[in-house]
Formats: sequence, C-alpha cells, structure tokens
Amino acid sequence: MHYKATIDTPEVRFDDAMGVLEIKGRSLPEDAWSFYKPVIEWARGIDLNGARKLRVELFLEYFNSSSSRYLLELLATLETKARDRVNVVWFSENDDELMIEKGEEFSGLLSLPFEFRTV
Amino acid sequence: MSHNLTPGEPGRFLYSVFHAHSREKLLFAYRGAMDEAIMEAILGISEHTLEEHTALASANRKVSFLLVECFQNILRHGAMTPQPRPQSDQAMFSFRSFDDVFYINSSNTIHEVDRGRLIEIVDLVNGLDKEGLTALYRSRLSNNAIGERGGAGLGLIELSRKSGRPIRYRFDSNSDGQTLFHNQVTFGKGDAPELDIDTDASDVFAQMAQANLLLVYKGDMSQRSILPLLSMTEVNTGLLDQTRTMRKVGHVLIEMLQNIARHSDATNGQREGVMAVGVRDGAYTLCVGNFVSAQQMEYLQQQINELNTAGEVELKAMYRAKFQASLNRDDRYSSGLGLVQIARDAGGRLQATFTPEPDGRIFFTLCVVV
Repeated sequence: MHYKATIDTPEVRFDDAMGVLEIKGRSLPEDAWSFYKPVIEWARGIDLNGARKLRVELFLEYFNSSSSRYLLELLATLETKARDRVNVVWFSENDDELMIEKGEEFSGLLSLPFEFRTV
Repeated sequence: MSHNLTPGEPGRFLYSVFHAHSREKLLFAYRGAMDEAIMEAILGISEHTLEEHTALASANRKVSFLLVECFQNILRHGAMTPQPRPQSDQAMFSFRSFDDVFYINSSNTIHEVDRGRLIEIVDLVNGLDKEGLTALYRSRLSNNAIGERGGAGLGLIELSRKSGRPIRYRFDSNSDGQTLFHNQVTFGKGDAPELDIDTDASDVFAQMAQANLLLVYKGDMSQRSILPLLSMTEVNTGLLDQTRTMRKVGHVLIEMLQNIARHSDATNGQREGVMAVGVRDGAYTLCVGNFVSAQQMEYLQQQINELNTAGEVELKAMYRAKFQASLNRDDRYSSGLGLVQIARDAGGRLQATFTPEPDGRIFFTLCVVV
C-alpha cells in the first residue's frame, strides 16, 4: 500500500518487509472518509498472527478534525486486532507542542503503546 | 495572551460585506506585504473561481495575465519600505468578479516625484485605441525607455491592451503621509459598467483598515478555494514561522473554513461564504460567515453556548468524549469535533451572530481571536 502525498492528504506507505506503516504530511481532505477508508480496510485485513509485529509511524504536520476521527479509527482497528503486537511512534517537530498534545490525546484513548519522538 | 472580541463587531462587518457585495461571484481584498508567494496564492483563488463561472472561463488566461501584471506593477514601482506590521497600508490589492466582468484594484505607495510620470503615461495610454497602444508598446520597447526601477510604462500599456478598457486611477495619502497610487483595471464584455474607483474600491480598503483586517474573501468555499486561501494566510501572517500561536491560527482557520464548506446551506449548488483575517497587538482575529438553515442555527446556538460556558478543563473533557464517540458515529462525512476543536485551539470564546434573511435562511458568522 502506498499513497503519495497531495496538497491536502498525507503520504501513506506500508513497508511489508519492515512491518512499518507510515503516515506523513498534512491531512486536511474535505472528505476524510474517502481517503482513510482503504487504509482502515487494509488494517482490518492485515495478518498479525504469530510473531509478526507492526510499527505505526505518524509524522503529521497538521490534521483536520475529520482526519483525527479516522486516524483514531485506524489505530483502534489495529488495537482490536492485535494490541500486543502493534506500537505507535508519534513524531513531531521539536517545538510543535500542539501536535505533541494531540498525540497524547490519541494515546489517552487507546491502550496501544505510544512512543513520542521529536525531530 | 487572551483577547476579547468587541461583541458582534467582526461578525457584523462580515455580514455587511456579504450584503454589500451580494452581486459579486468573488471578492478578494488584501492589504499587507506583497511577494511572489502571495501572487501564487491569489492566482490559485482566481483561477478556480473563473473555471467555475463559465462566463469568464475562456478568459481565464487573460485575467491571470492581468492579475500578474497588476501585482508586478506593485512590486516593480512601489516605494515600499520594510515594515514589521503585516497590516501595512503600503500596498493593497483586490479583485472581484461579477457575472462577466472582472475588476482588479491595486494601491501602492510611490515616490512623490513619480506622480507626474505616472499621470502622463496613464493618460497617454487611456487616450489611445488598440493600434495606437500597439505602436506605443513597440516604440517603448525598441527605444529601450526603461525607467530607474525597470519600467517603461510597458506594464501599464500591456494592461490597457489586454483589458481593452481605460485604466482608472487616483492618488491620495495614507496615514503615514506617503503618496498612494490607486488604479483599477476592468476586464469583461462590451457594456460592463465601471466601478467608481473613488468609492467602490476605496470603501473596502478603508473598512478593512478600520477593522484591522488583512484579508477579506467572499466566494466559493469548496476545498479548491480554501487551500489557496490557507496558503495566502500562511504566507502573509507568518504562519510559516511555526510559533505556537501561528500554528494555532492555521489549525483554527482550516477548521473554520472546512466547517463552512461542510455545513453551509448551498445556493445553486455552490457553498458560498465569507471570511476575514485580522491582526491587532499580535493577536489574530479569524472570522467566517455563511448561510445556514433554521435547524442548523438551533444546533449551532446550543453547541456554542455549551462551549462558551466551559472552562479549559471542561473543554478538554468534552473534546475527549466527542473524540471517543466519533468512533461510533454513523455519519461518515462529519466528525462532530469541529467546533470543540476550534474552541480548544482558540483558547477563548466563540463569538457567533445569526441574522435572519427574508427568504428564511439565516446568515451565521463565527469569529475567534487566537
């Protein structure tokens, strides 16, 4: 799965060999459901049996409220599927307190392990 | 820093803009720093509007040319000095489109010594027909009559050739005692009326200056129009500086604009709205306005009252509850988070006005200070 970034949607890329799902950029589509539906469906279908693990790397410059809903749904889907084999790395720019706070809000609603990194 | 809005003031201003310019398909007015990035954003806004309105679609390239030429005239000839204030009155730019007529108004400070030269060239250009303009253009080009700041009046000649109409102009002084050169270029079908440069164009700028507004936009609020508006605001307000306040301004603005796109009561299939961005003492005022139904008004009033009576901790709890509830929401097009997110990011009261119209619709304005 690989969607290139556009002016209002982030890059979404799954590296099967590394077990990494990366979502990077700004996410402010008018119709967030159309954009995130295939990603959520992908999450519903991913095989996380056995020793297979998934790291979700989120590095978002900005996202609108509709996107936040579907990002939460995406993470909640993965949590339901295999909470002990999924971890989230929430990237933000060093001084971007707002995005760090938003990451903490996601973390507070999920039981997935969150790691916060600044770059 | 917390700032309060004067009750109803920005909302009333937006409502008056919407009504005073009800005939325009598009109104865009801007005062502040001018550079190529601002120009790009302006072109993005105008091109989308022209594509949507078939009366001018075929003229898209020509209007873009006129916009660029007018804008470059400001950059080329403006006697601007660097100012830290983004609301500088050294340069102003507006364009507006009616069904089949397009007006571009530019104002910039000039060196007083250039006034005579400008009058001479504009009067000369306005007195010539198409052939005369072509001859003057060739003559100026071949004689290499380039002025000190790179102009030979070629820009003004080209504006007149492409628009096919006289360039209106006038001079006056701004609050700093500098000389301002205002000009108006009109483009459109044969018998289009001229706007009065002494009243129509100046009123918008004067009102904006009085209300400390940098940018006023009235028109389509679809995503394709919103994105250039956001870019424009990012460039002008210093959002790209990425301070906490600037980031908040960006977050709140996009949420406000998308709320209009999503919830406004469409007229003839178009979601029309109005927005304004202002700045005073380092605080940004963001306002949007659009038509809503009576049912939407009731919902909005209840939501806004609830948010305005909540403190910071309560707002956080409300956001968390709504965020969690969004997972079970049936409506895939709306998250239910927009207003609470605006309230949280703005860190202050949401100021709303609701004005009933004779046709039963309600004009809703929402303003916040960040």
